[in-house]
Amino acid sequence: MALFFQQTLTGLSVGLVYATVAMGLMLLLRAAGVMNFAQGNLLAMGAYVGYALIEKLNLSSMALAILLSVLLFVFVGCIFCGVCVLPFKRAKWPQAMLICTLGAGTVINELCLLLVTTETKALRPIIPGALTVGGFVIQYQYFFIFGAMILMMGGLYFLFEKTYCGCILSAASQNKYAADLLGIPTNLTIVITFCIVVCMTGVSGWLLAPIYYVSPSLSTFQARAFASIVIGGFGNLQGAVVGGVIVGLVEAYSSYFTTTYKDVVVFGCLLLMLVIRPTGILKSEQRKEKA
Amino acid sequence: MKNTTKAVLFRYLIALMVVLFMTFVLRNNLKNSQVNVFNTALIFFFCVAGQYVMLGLGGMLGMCSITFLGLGAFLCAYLNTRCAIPVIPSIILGTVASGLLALFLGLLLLKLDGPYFVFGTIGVVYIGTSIFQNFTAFTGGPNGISGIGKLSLLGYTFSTFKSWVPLLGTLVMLLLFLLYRIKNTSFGRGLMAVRDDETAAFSLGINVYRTKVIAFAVAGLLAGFGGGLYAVHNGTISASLFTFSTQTKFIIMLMLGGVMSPIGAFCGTILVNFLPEIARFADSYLNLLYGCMIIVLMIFMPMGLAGVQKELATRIRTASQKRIAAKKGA
Repeated sequence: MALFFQQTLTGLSVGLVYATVAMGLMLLLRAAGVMNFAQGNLLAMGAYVGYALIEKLNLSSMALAILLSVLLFVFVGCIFCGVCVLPFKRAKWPQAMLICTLGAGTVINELCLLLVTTETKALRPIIPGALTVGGFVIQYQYFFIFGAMILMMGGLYFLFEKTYCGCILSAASQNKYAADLLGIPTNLTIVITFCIVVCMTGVSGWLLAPIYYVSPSLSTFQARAFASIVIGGFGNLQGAVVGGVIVGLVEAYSSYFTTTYKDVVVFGCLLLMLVIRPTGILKSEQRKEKA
Repeated sequence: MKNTTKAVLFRYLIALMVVLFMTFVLRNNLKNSQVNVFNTALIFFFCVAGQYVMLGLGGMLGMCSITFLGLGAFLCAYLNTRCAIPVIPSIILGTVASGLLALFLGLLLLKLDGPYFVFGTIGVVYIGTSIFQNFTAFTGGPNGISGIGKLSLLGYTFSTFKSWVPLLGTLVMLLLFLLYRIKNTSFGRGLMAVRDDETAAFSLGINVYRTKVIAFAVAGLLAGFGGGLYAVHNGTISASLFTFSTQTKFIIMLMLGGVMSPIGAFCGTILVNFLPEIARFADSYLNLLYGCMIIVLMIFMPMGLAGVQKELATRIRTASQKRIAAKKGA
């Protein structure tokens, strides 16, 4: 029973990370029409930034570190957008943008390795140690991940549903042409969306670093995020959250009967879902075909 | 009629010359390791050709060629080492198995469209990687399979990397002919119609679903054949090759060369595989350079090398036509 609780809690928190990454993917897909294959590398970059700021620069105050990292993430977001999206506004071949994100992912990964460290390092947790109740052991870091993800999702919900800025962002992503006519600067909204997404992904990566280590292999989270998008329902944000949590839980529970074939279980679920119900658990918004 | 046969003969002649040229130049000027890289590039071209049929002609971004390559390679290796089946039948069996798997997955996944299809194929890649790495009884797990027999054809044994060059060159030339041929069959034209507009293609009486499935299966067959060749060529295989990052490399090879042109794809394949050899001076910055190169290429020439060549050709043609017109006017 203790094991069950432990699996559930770890599954939930990791699932929420999948959900955050998936939400980022979805936001980019809606706002800029780009399927971002560098999302995993951005997640790993978050971990590297955290490591560089805390272990290398020895920043004493956490607030300063967070501020610096957010500035850096915004900077990266702007550059990423400028390189991977804006030059392709009139491209005839949509796959070019996708390949460009692949290239950008390689660049981000290599820059992290060259500038920070090439070894796999462990980052200090925010509060070291683990909570032990009976046979039930769970690291404190999971609670931080859980809390931060909930906070970020809440913030995103508040931004998109309650504020003027969020209304502009969703208007621009829903119909670019109409938004242009209304005087919304659509290029600026794309850049802002990119900055938000990079910040979210980067912070998630930082929080994951104490558990999964600082290494390029963090980028494998991206595939799980793709899976959670499809399982939850393509095109809506709630779907991404539901899908992410489901993927996390499935992965956690699959350790009851297998440790080596986790990937098979998770992606088998994806294929099964695609065959049985391609629209996902929450019905997906149909993207309009070209007129 | 006579004209066309002449043109065909001419093309065959060019292909033969290219193969002979490759054979002699490589034999005399390159080190063994470089020949190995070249041969690997030629083998990977089978996979890239499959991608070309899917993406260039059919407009579907299938991401799971690497799984078919892996299945072809591992099945061939398994049959050869454990079941003592000779090399050529085991390559054929591996190819057929990959083709059948591709057919099955195609029937399943192609009911979906657009991004769903891409995600589905990505899922297949991860499942494949996991199985190749962990299913020890079949793939040898982390150690892989070694000691695969040498290929012998008509009494000649292909024992060194250099002796493989003419064979692979001939096969690739045949493949190139096949690709150009596919483009001009009713299947190829149907596929291109599906790529451009599914509804219009359907209204013209093309069975969209069946066309796509056949394209997917053809890609699987080609990749499986490449896998068999890879296993026999290297004599040993390990699961570390068959990951998602290699798949992205295949896509990059195709896009770099030009997604619409088989020759372009061929050049892209050679270029990407030889990059580590050419840019040895870059050392640890190699991957950084590679990433930057991809970005720059995609921004400035999204149709790849073949696109650039085409654009230049049309520009020259219009310029010369203008000159002729000016002369006539004067």
